[in-house]
This record gives sequence, C-alpha cells and structure tokens, in this order.
Amino acid sequence: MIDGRKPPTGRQISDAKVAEQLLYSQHAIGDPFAAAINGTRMAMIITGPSEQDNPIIFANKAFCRLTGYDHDEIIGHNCRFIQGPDTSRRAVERISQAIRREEDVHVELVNYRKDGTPFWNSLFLSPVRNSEGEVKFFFGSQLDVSDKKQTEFDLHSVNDELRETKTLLEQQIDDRTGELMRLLSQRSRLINELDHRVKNNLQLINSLLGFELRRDLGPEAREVVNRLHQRIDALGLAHKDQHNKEAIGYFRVDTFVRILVSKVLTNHPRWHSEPTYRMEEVLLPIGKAAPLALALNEFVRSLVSNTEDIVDGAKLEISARTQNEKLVIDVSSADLTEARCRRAFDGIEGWTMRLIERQLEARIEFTDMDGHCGVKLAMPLNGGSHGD
Amino acid sequence: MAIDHRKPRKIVIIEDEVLLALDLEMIAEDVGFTVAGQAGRKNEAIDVIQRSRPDLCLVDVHLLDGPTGVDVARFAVENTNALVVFVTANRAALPEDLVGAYGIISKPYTVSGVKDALRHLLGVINDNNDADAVTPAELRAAAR
Repeated sequence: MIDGRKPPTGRQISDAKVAEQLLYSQHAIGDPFAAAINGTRMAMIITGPSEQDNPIIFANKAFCRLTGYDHDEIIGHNCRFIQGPDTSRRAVERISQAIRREEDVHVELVNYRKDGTPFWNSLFLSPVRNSEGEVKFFFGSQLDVSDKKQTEFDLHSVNDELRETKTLLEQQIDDRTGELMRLLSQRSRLINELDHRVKNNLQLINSLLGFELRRDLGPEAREVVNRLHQRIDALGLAHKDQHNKEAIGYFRVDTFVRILVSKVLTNHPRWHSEPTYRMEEVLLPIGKAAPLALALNEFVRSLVSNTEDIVDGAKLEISARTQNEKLVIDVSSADLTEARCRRAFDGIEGWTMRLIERQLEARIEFTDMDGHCGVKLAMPLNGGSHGD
Repeated sequence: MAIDHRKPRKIVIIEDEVLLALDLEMIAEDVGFTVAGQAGRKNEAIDVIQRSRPDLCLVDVHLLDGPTGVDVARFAVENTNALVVFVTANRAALPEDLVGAYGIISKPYTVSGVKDALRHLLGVINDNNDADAVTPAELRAAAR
C-alpha cells in the first residue's frame, strides 16, 4: 500500500468475501461466462462499490499472474495496492473521477507487482448496473502494455535525439553562416577600399594631365595630352559606380554607352549633344568595361573629330542590342559620308584593333544603311579571354 | 555660356588630396567661382566654412582624419546657406538622405563633366537656370 490509508479491517475483508461468494453463487460451476473470465489471459477484476472503500470482490487468475499476488491477498483490498512511486497521480484521479461519476474510463498508468517491478497497465474500467440502473459493480480489465510503452519511449528518445542533432546542426550552420558573413563583409570592405583608391589614383592621373593642358603647349603636344586625357577619362568611366545590385559582377551596357558618348561629344560641339538612342538593357561582365570603354572612345572620337565637312547640329544614332548571343553596338549618322567613315576606320590605331579582337573577341565593321554610315561592333555576351 | 557675374560666388573645396583640390580650384575658377578656401581635415573644414561663408561646398567623404566628410557636409547644411555637393569615389559610404546635400559628383570625374556640374550649380545659386534646365550628367548620375 502506497498511500497512507488504513488497510481494510478483518471485518471489511470478510464482508468482501461474502460478496464474492454471492457472486459465485449466481454463476455456478458450468457457467460459461464464469469459465471464460477465469480462463482468459486478460487480467480482470470486479469491485463492489457498495462495500466500504470499493474493494476488489473478484480477481481472475490472469490478474493474479499479472500482479504476482495470491487470490487471498487481493480480495477485500482497494485496487490502489498495485500503485507505486511512478504511478501518475493524474491517471489515478481520472479513475476516481470515473468511479464517482459512474462512467467508463481508459487510462494507461504504471503499476507495481508484488515483487516491486513496475509495468505499464492499460486499464479499462466500467460500471455494471442492475435492472434498476443502479451501479452494483465495477468491472476492470488490465493489460500489460510495457512493450508498447517501451517502443513509445524509444521513439520519443529517438525523436529527442533527432531534435538535439537538428539543434546542433542548426547551431553549426548558424556559426558557419556567421563566419561567412563576417568574411564577406571583410571582403567587401576590402574591395570598397581598393575601388576607392583605384578611382582616386585615376583621378590623380587625370588631374596631372589636366595640369599639362593648362600649360602653354604646342598644338601637337596639346593634341597628344588631350587624347591621353580623354582615354583616361574613358577608363575612369569603367570604374564609376557601375555596380549592378541585381546582377553582381555585371554592368549595364546601355547606360555605360550613353555616358561615354556624351563625354566624347562634349569635346566636339558641332555635333548635337544628345544623339538618338535605341538601347536595349544589356548586361556584360564588369571585366569588359575597361576595354569596351577604350575601344568605343577611339571609334566614336575618330568618327566625330575633324569636323570641317560636318554640319552644325549633326546627330549621331546609337543602338545597342543583343542578337544571337552577341552584343551589337551601332554608331552611325545620316550626316556621315562613306568616305569619312572609311577614313575614321582606317585611322584606328593598331592597339585599339588588337584590344577589340583579342580582349573583347569583337568584330568591327563599316556599315552603310540607307545612307546612314557608321561602324558596327559585335561581341560575345559572355566569355572572352579576359572577361572576368 | 551665360554666367551671372553680378556677384562673385564663393566656393570651398574640402579634399585631402592636394593635387585634386588644386585641379578642382582651377576648374572652379574657370567656371567663374572665387575660391574662398580649401581644407583636408574635419576641423579645418568646419573652420573654413564658418569663416568664409561660401555659396558652394565641394566635400570629399574621406579626409585626412577618416570618413569625416559627412560630418562636414552636415555642418554646412545645418549652419550655412551653402549648397553642398559631395565629390567622392565611395558613394556606398554616404547616407541615403545625403545629410541634406544637393548631390554627388562621383570620382573619377572629367574636367568637362565637373565644369558642366559647376555651371549648373552656379545657375542654381544665382537662381537663373531655365525651369527646364537639364541637370548635368555628372550630378544627375549621382542623384540616382
């Protein structure tokens, strides 16, 4: 007995035995129900709620086997003698409540055998009523479900382990991500710093050339310094804020070309400052920006300089589009003659052609469409030996 | 180029690279500004701005004492009537609202680009830009 209640008195036990006899007398030898109940492997008991403390007045052999108690040790005792330290108080309360309310109940709880070993008991308890509807007995059946419980526990512990492993993994992933983020921000700080210095130095180079241009140079020297100045300008454009948030490592060719052309045209005021543009949104790897800037600068400059035969307000027409995995840039004008274009074409220096052919893998050709002469540059959208 | 010469407009250049500052001074003078001062450090810069009451401040973000150009710009915006324009290679370092500055000229810039930008700014200061005056590419590219 675990709880502090008093054990049944001799009187109570003998009253229970009378009730048992009464029960037996109603189910004499040969009663198939009595035989079935005694013979089944399912442990079963009957209690008498009209007796004091609702004692067991019948227990079958299977119940004795399950609990390890003898028949005589059982009759007259309330069921609670098989409870123990790990018996759930809540389960016991549910049983008491069902008895008070005269209802069916099913609970799984830890009970103890006579030798003290615990087992998981799957208990069904239901009231038995007479023809007037009064509750005369409670019928209980017990099943040892320790194996099932063990499986449940095993599953739980496997689950717990899985949960732990998951938490551990998540922790590791968090740690790694944190480390990567740290390295990444370090890297982008470094790139930012380098970028900053490169731009500053380009600016310095250009300022130095600017100082030369402010001196009293001869026309030939002025022309050379000017050309260098413009080339460094074009190169600088490749280092402007071309960073594309949607596509890291690529730059927008259309905006790039617009800025570059408008820069070239500021030095050639006879041309209209706003060309006619037909531009698609095209992305190129950022590594192509510098060679493209240098090459376009040479071409556009050579097309628009030497303006003696050019009318005031002459207008360039510029288009950029993709065609068969190639970027095609057209620079032409109705105000350019074929002879002039050919001259410009021939005037392109060797290094520019080499840059175009080798680094941009581009082809450049003279074009003449309905009297609109110019040049067309076609280059692969990706790849290129120095593309990245 | 029609520039209002009624009143000389003063410019201050806050730039730690001496040669770049010199280049900018020459360009500014070409456009018609009077150079009122130059500084490469936060305290000097604030001092120069306070003393010379310029109409325009060109401010580099990274000065000799760190990324203090932003503080200088904020000071000029809050304490003077000067237009403030950042001249920087590092736009990423600037706060979204540019601390109230008018715009950015990003490095590397070109002489002609800066000239266009300065002429435009002179027009803004003198309030004689056409209503539909196009913002020069150097300033425009920066504003977005």
